[in-house]
Amino acid sequence: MISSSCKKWFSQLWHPSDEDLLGFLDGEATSRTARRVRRHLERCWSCRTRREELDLSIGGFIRSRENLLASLAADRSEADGGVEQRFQFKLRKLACQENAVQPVSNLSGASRKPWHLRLSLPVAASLLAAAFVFYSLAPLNKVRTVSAQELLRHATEAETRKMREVKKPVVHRKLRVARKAAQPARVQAITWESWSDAENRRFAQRVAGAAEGLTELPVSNEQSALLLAELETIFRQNDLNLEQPLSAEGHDRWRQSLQTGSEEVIQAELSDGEKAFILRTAVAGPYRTHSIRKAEFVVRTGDWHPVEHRLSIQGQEGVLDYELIERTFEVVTLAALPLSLFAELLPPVPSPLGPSKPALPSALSLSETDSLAIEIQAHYVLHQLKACLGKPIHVNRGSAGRLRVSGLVDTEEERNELQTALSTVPGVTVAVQTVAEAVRAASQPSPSGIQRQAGLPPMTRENEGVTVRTGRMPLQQQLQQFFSRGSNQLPVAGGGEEEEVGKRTAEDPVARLSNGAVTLSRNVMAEAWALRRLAERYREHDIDRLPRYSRLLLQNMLQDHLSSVRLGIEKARQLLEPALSSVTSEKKRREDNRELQAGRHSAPFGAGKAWNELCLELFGRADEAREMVDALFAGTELETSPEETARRLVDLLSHWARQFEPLEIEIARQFSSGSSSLTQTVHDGNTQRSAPAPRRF
Amino acid sequence: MNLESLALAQTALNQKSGLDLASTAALEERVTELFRLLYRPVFRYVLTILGDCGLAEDVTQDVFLRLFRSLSKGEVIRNLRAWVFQVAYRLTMDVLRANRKMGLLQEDQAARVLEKKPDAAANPEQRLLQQEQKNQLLAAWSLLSPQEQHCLSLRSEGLTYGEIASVLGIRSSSVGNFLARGIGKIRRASHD
Repeated sequence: MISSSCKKWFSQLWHPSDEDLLGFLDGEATSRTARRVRRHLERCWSCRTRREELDLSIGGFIRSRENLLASLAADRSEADGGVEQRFQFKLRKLACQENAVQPVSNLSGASRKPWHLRLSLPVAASLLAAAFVFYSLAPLNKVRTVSAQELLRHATEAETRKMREVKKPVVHRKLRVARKAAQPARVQAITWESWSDAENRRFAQRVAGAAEGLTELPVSNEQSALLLAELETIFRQNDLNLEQPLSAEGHDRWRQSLQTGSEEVIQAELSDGEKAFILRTAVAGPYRTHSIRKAEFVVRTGDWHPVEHRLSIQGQEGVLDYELIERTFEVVTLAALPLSLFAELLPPVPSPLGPSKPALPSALSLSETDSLAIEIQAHYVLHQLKACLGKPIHVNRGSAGRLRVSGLVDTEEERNELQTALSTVPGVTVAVQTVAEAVRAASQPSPSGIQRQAGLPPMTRENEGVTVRTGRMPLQQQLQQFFSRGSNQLPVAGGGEEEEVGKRTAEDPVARLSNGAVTLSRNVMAEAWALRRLAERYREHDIDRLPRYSRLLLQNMLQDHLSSVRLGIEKARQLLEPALSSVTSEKKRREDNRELQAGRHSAPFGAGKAWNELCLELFGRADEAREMVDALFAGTELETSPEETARRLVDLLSHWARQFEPLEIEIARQFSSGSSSLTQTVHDGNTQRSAPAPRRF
Repeated sequence: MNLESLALAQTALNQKSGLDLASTAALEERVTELFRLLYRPVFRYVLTILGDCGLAEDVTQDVFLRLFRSLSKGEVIRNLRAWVFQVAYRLTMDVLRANRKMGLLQEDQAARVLEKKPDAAANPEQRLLQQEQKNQLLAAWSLLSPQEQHCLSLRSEGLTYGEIASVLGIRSSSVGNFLARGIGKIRRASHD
């Protein structure tokens, strides 16, 4: 047996390891180890020295690290104030996306499992027992004969069967679409006809006039377009597709996405005496605007065909009820339909009840706002397809205020793509021709020949190189001298045509430089034109009065164009600065810099100006840069000498690059300010909404 | 890092009633607040590993955007600081995997660090010392294993052993071990 003195002697031999010592210093050692180390340190000189050394090493490490971090972050120190702004910018963009995509608010901190999976066993057992008692006592018409899942499965299978029976199927539906508001009590109803070609993802629709029914108010074309637009917003927000109304599959997807709620299947009789099942789903709150509070999906028992969809929607100022009741359903073959069906959106037939009057005094101003919202959505669709970049496509209003998208595209595919995309925007007529068609039309005198609109930029393609005409450029000799020095190579900028430019081929570097510069300048101009058009179009509209979503779309478009311009400018600077700086003498550049200090290039973009003025100012500068690039590389004439032009261009690019961020932030600020008041004044229920993800640059 | 504010933020996040998460705007505001609190330490950690300022900023911002996304999906985060650093660690590793030339110790990066002008406000002696410290740290850093580098960087930003363990997915006892070994290597390198 070891005596206590022996134990003490052994413990004196023990020295804490570095790990124990560090754990002790960091307060991370267990209490037993900490006690042991503390006692040991009291009597061990060498371990006390080790502790000091450890402390010194940690101190040294921390100091060197700080030093290192400081030198790594030295470049950024001046921009540090912008970090938070940049982050907020991104966060807002993300929030908008999430807002648009997320169907049902799911922010309560609970897991996303469907509620039926989260029931614990005892709860489930007691529910089962309760259900048994309930069903044994319930009246006959409430007897559940099929589960919700089964009902929807049968309906989906029936639909698939019907589709399979026909070659190239197109679903033709006629629905009565109604909106009921409780306060004031009124019903708006339309008959909506649609053709859906799922195989080719095409869709056509028309409003076939106000629905029958004496209690209903007459509905104008505009109002019917708005009703559909509203419904589309609701469907989108709840992850449903209005192009496939009464879809069992879609309804199932929606109910699976819910977290909490209750549902039941009950038997009912349809107005024509046929039996049906009603799947009634009640969603638990809280409710977001446009979210479904209650849904009834009615399926005919005989053939498992869905015939009605009734939705209670959370509006801005209360609950709104919508009804989609099927009048006609048929699956027809594509060949049986007229060719023109999917070519153009059919205009709604005027209401048989004569010209309508707005139901409320405010309805007129609302519809103005909403037609503007539809227009912005059409612009956004074009923007996503990059049809806004130099293509001769324009959005304008007809005499009756109808929106019309007209213009020229190169190929049939492009036109189809455009038509499909624009079919999601209600009330838009698409009159886009292919070049071949336009040429044919031009050869025969026709009033519908498309004319080029004044003020439209020349047609350019983003990735299409612009070839510079042969001949001597003003700075050819100097540039050749610059490239003949071995160390000077063209910078390899990331992406696009500059990569091509940067490839070290046997081609003449001066020609590559010119091609790169001219191409970049054309691309930047295309983006600047797009900015200018938006700024001019919405110049007189107060953005605060735009519906929130339209404002976001507009902002996204502006941001995308601004980012592209910035990217283009940065690429141009990287490409041109080394070569052009060599051409101009250092002394002159310094002089010029001094001049520019007071001049307009170095002046920041006008503070306190409205967003559209800033965009127009930016366009002006882009155009100025283009002029200089053309003078230097494309042989156009300019008053100043080539050397001076080169110097001015380099200065313009470098000053400009620095001013971009504040410009973007200022525009974002103008768009984001006052958003809270906006949501109170604008009726979101009547605005357009889609969920496209903004492009990222 | 203001631990008190962080604890408050954490409490608010954990109490559903304390934060009206139904409103995206409220969540946006909350995440921005957390960004203010945690940006600096996360950025410094990422910067130590990647050695590139712009990239470190992007990664750090991405961390907080992910935080927003997770919170908006209803995810419950128990230890906010550990969560944020864990995401930062993963993203940093993704960047390193995607770009093998990245990292503080890669030749280009190290050369750039050494080329950087010393602090203009310091006197010549101090500048020399700073340069010397940088050289030493870079030399010592290259001797450390990746786990040791991560442990030391995270500890320097004030994380506890438990938090470091959860960030790196290792045991707490290993953290002490890595730290002690790392410090030992740095000490020996400075003596040499």
